[in-house]
Amino acid sequence: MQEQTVPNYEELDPDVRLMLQVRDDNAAAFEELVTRYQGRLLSLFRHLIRGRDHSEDLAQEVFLRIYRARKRYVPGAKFSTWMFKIAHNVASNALRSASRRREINIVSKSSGALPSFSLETLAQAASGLMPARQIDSAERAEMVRLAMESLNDRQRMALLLSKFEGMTYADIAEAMDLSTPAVKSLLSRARGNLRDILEPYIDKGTMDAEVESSSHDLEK
Amino acid sequence: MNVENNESHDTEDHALNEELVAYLDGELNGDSVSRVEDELSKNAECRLRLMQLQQAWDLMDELPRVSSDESFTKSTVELVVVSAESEANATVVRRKTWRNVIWVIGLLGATAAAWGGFLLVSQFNNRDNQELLRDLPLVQEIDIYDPIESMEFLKQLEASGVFDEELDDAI
Repeated sequence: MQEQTVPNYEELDPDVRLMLQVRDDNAAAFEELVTRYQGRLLSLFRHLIRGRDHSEDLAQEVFLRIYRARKRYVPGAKFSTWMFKIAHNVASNALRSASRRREINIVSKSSGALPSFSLETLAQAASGLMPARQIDSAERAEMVRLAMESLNDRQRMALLLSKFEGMTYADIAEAMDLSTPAVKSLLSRARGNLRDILEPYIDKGTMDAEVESSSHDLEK
Repeated sequence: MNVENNESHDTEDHALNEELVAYLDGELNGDSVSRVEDELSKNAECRLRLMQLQQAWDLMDELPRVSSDESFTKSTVELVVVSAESEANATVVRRKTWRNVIWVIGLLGATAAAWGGFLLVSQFNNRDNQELLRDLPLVQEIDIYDPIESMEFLKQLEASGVFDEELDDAI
């Protein structure tokens, strides 16, 4: 019977090696990690929680926790997986506080079901954008943002980690403290919901782009 | 019946969705990939759904990506340095406080031990003193009792009533 060998993350992951230097109080190594990951964390929090200032505070909170945990750091996963696990905890706390305070305008649902008011809102928005108008990039971005906001927090988090961090289901499970089958189900619902919301927009957007392309060809 | 049919349809729908999404994400094993590709080759609706899932996925690229700047790095590092310093100071204060507490406990313990020893010694001294007090009348008349060499003889004298006669004469 083959034994499953635990990967040697110190050898495989350069960011793990950097973190081990941070453990030994190497300030330059910590600064390098901040430089490498700050953009990714800011994007994640920006799409999870609206508000630029809030996303910066949350990203800094993640780095602060990383620094405080440095003496206890043992490379048991890729550095990014470990970091996004911390990010997930920070985001969960922030979202919990926000829903209690009701200061931040987030559409947050506990189930995967789409709320009727947001479907109606999105349908109206989509129908307003579609006919006889070219859909520009800013409008597409807004549609996608609205669609993302209609997902629940966990679906949104899993989707962002999968899309922008390229994390495997196993890594996402580790970061979100879920099982791999649970992540598979979560992503399936998230992407299914996204598809349902953006379906009219996708079709119309594609058609308009094709029409525009063929009209350019005719002019030539 | 309709409700059951709908629920069953939703379950199958979700199961298919799961397979298609996992297929797009490269998370299926060999056998599952073959099964999905077989279904895709036969089922136009399945192919349409796959295409729509992929398109919705691609649309996420429209979301703005945030780029950070040096000032954010600098402020993050500064925040961490300040936090580390205040933690270090808090540790020093904590250690000093503990040292003081231990010192006070030690002092109290020593004081308690000293008092305990004093009380114990006092107890023994008192016992000796009480014995002495009890024997004081004897000591005061030691000249009288000195010639009597035997305690047995003294007890015989007491039993004979000689001391009682002397006492009556004295009163």
